[in-house]
Amino acid sequence: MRKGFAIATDFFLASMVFMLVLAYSFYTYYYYVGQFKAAEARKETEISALALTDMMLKSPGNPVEWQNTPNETKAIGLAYDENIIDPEKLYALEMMEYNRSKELMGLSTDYYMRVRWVDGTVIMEKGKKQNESAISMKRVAVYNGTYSWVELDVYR
Amino acid sequence: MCTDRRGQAFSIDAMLAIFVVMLFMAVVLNFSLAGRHVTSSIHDEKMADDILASLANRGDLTVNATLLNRSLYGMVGAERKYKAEVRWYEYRGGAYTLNGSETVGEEPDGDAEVSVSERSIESYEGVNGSRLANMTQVRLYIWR
Repeated sequence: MRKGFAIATDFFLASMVFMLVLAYSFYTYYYYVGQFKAAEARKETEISALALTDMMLKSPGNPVEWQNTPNETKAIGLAYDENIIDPEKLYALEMMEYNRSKELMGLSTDYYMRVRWVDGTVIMEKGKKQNESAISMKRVAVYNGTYSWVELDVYR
Repeated sequence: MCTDRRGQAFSIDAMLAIFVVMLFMAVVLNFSLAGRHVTSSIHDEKMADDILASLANRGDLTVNATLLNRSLYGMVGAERKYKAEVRWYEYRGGAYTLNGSETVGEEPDGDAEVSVSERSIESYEGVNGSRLANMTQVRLYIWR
């Protein structure tokens, strides 16, 4: 070491460590903020999908006999009693134009819906099944006196 | 600040700072995981509620534990486990009397997050269902 010059190895080392920690902190902060935002968006979609399946399984729709006047439908409901699916309403939903059903469900993204008995026999399928990640809901109801699953995938 | 034998300094402050950052990250990660947990439990609660509504509407909340267990097993599917406690009451002399009880399914694991749903169903008999006859109380536990 030359006289008069102080080479503060400690100082450089400390600065390096500090910078690394700072960079890592920023990276972590932004990474988790991103994760949080994605998780919040996912949670919101999940709650909307739950509310949507609730509306389908608990209410008859609006108007109550909407299956007879599909053009005047304001809300889709499949129930004639709590968690009992009305086959006529399910058929009317199956026959409804896809974009119209999406609009009535209040969805801005694609969906795929499947109703099947618990033995796996498919009763009805509607929508566009995709490979990308989806919010998946599985609800239980009674169709034609037999337990069935109502499954809804909402894509993001 | 402490110094080692070769004259290099290790800052306690720096170590403390790193520790704080790690703690912060752990807390953030924990929150993130907790967030995911909440919605899955809402989903399970809804499913438990659906199952009880379906059982009640199909009239399967019977004293027959085998039938009840089979129905539950079919509805819950392979992804979840369940336990149901059912009590039947008879309305006699102005009060409900316990007429029987059944528990089906398995006990939840200690660390499982269990969703619970309850329901009471009253049944009537007589002319136009004029007389209160029975009540079924059921509590369903679901977990993954």
